[in-house]
Amino acid sequence: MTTMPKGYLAFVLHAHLPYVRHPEYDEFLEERWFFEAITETYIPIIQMLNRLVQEQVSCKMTVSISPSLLAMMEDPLLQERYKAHLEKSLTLTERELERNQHDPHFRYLADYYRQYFSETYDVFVNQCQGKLSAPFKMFHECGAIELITCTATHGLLPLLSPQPKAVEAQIVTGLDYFESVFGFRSKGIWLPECGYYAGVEDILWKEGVRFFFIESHGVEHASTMPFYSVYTPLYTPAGVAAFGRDQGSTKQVWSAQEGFPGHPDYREFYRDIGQDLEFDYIKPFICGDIRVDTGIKYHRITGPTGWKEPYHPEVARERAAQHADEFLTHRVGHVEHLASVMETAPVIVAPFDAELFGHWWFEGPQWLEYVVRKTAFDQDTLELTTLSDYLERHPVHQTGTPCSSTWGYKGYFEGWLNGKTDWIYPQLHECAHRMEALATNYGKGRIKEVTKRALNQCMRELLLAQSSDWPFIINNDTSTQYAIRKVKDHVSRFHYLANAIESGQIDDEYLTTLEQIDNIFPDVTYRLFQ
Amino acid sequence: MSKKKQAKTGIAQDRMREISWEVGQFYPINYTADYIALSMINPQQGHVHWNLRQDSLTALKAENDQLAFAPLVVRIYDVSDVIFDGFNAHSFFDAEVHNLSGNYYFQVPQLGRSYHAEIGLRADDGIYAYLARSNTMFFERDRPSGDYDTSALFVEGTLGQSFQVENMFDASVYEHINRALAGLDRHNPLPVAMVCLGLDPQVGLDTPLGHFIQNVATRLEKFGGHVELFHADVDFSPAEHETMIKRVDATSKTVFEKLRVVHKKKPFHLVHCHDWYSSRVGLLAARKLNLPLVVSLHSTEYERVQGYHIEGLSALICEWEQEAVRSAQLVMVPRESTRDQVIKLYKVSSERVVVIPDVLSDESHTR
Repeated sequence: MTTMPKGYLAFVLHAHLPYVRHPEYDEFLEERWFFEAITETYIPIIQMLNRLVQEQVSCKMTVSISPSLLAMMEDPLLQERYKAHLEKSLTLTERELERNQHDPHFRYLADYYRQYFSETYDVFVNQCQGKLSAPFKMFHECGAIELITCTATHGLLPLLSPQPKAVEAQIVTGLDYFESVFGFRSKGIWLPECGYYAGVEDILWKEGVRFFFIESHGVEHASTMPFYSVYTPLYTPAGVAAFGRDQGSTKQVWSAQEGFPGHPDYREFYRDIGQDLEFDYIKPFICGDIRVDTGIKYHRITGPTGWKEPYHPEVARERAAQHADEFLTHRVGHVEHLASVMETAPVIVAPFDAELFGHWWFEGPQWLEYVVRKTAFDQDTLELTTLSDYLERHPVHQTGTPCSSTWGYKGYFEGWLNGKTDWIYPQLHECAHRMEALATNYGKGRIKEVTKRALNQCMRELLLAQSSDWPFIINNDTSTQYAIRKVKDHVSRFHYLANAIESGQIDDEYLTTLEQIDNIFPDVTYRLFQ
Repeated sequence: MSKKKQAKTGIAQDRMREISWEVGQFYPINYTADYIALSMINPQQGHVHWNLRQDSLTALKAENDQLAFAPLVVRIYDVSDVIFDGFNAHSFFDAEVHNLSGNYYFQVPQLGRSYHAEIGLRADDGIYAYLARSNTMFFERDRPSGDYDTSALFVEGTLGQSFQVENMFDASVYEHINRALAGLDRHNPLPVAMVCLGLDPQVGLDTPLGHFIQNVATRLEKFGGHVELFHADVDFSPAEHETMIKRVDATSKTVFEKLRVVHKKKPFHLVHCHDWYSSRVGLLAARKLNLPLVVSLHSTEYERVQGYHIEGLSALICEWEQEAVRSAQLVMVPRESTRDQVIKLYKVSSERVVVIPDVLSDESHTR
């Protein structure tokens, strides 16, 4: 594009998983969340970006990687376990080829998955040497993406705000860990669940963060009327830019009922051979005696009933291209209209959970790639951008204080604070209060190495307990027992260590064990609570 | 797996599980402080959770006989626009509670106001004493504010400079000034970074190659292009091969950094490199800045050694040439024989190699 575009489209992919590493077991069901996301989302996105960069297709988007996910990506034990998991998947595809040898279409699908896992293995083992942060860093350096971070363990900041030090510890630890891995400070931040409250921007500004994202009503209900709605950012009084989500462009993508992912041609998420096939056959490939998804799914959505037709990858690919065209046509029309009534170039911000692309919507990465290619070659009205680039080009925006909000159920906090989950917050409050007392009473001046280790481990346990994922899971009744267990484990580990510090009797074996189980953020510092 | 199996960390897995289970007994916990915390669930609904120690409660009752049998209450104050001192709230309401620890959900009397909570004892005659005070929480409006204000900010760089702008509708003026100052507003439909290392420092561009490059730049301007030339002197005396290669490598990195700085302010559309010694800059620009690469190969190393056995320095130069032409979107060569070599020896697709005679150095051919 040789002239200034009329407007911009900013994709923001937020990649996050809670910390689900369990070295105390050989295999653990919840670690598969991480493995599935690597296979179905992170590696397909890496492959997509690789193709775009290799072919010099103009591409710019924002990728947020949460520190807890990044810590799992960097963890050698999980890297090793994922490799073993992939090898198992490849073995399963071999068995499937044999099992389906007399059914041409299902054999073709089994071969499709063999190829799919084999390419995934090649990217993970040969190209990345197990280190998924490396390609993301490379894409950032060549300008195809802008990498940003999130708070340390995805703590929902407005619900932690009664204790400002807890909020600051989440933000600073997240930024520091991101910098320790990628070598640069993140210019933007993904506030967990797009959870904003007035005042958080002061900490962000102090830490050099230039922008964040909020739900559309966070901008629309701001202290001053936003003249351009969510199509330009709102500067908070501190000077940090708040970008509002464009509902129109996102619902079309994330909604299984009204959006693209529910089309009958796309792959059916809920039909997996791990659930369908005979138990004895599938047992070596699932988690102990618990049936789980294997990632091999032979059917397409077909329709709202239980009857499912076989999946046709090429038909689905064509559908993804058609949906990409439809999406882009709407955005171009929208930008044409916005540009005609605005004094500055509009930006349509389309944030998504990264795991939507590939994991929940299998063809999502293909769709995204088509949108990028069509934006580059099929029109000249809008341009893909990153938010840093947009702010560089367009540095003047209206000021106002956004409204406290999230992008969750009903737009506020009831998805995380309700009758099922309200027992969590007093625990977190007590831990943060005690952390402050420990840091003040036992952490000042020169202290013994073992005390320092114990204080830092207390900090890790507190951060891990604060993850917004636990109340979210409990509220949605999915892996409820696991989430409850995680909160209670981290809280009890915190208090065990706090008691040990206060009594001056820190058992090295116990401390070492807890450090090895919850080994997130090697450089974390309790001093943030002083 | 063996029971004795150790995690990578050195402690056996079964021991880790034992310790984990044992430490897990530290739940539930004893609270160490009196507190009450206030949160907004949505603009209409608030939530407080609190804890009081029995000792604190007993002490308060002992201090004041009138509170000996008083019930616990959560008191919610409207403290909008005031610095709350305990007495200056606009209004408050009480809710009786019965436990030393607990949760209480309440409907907010008015939206768009700031609230504050206390937990304390309230006697029948209205005497009240609090045990813990919460944070202040603003309960949002659930609709647009209706407040129109055109105030804006100019924020440049990573919070480098910021200043107030009275009218946000002037944004385009500020953008224009900002772009002009940054040199972004010139009409350059095709900004090209042209790289030519190895020019003689004594004569600079006053060589046949220098003239050629200058002419290419002039011609491109006529077609709406703009060439930014990056050149640097590198001593090509063949005495010390290793030193020379290192020098080219180091110079390439320096020139690339210059190119990157210019590119950041005014993005190039492509990078055009001349011959092997400029190719490292082009490769860096292609990889790190995602720029399309064009390589002009005025001759190949095979041509320069004229059929002699290729080894040592020449072999390395061949490798560099090959890497450059294979990474390039377009390879320009002056004659068919060079084109053949690029295709056959360097295995470059014939569609990407074009012959453009070095005639631009002679103005008479190009009028």
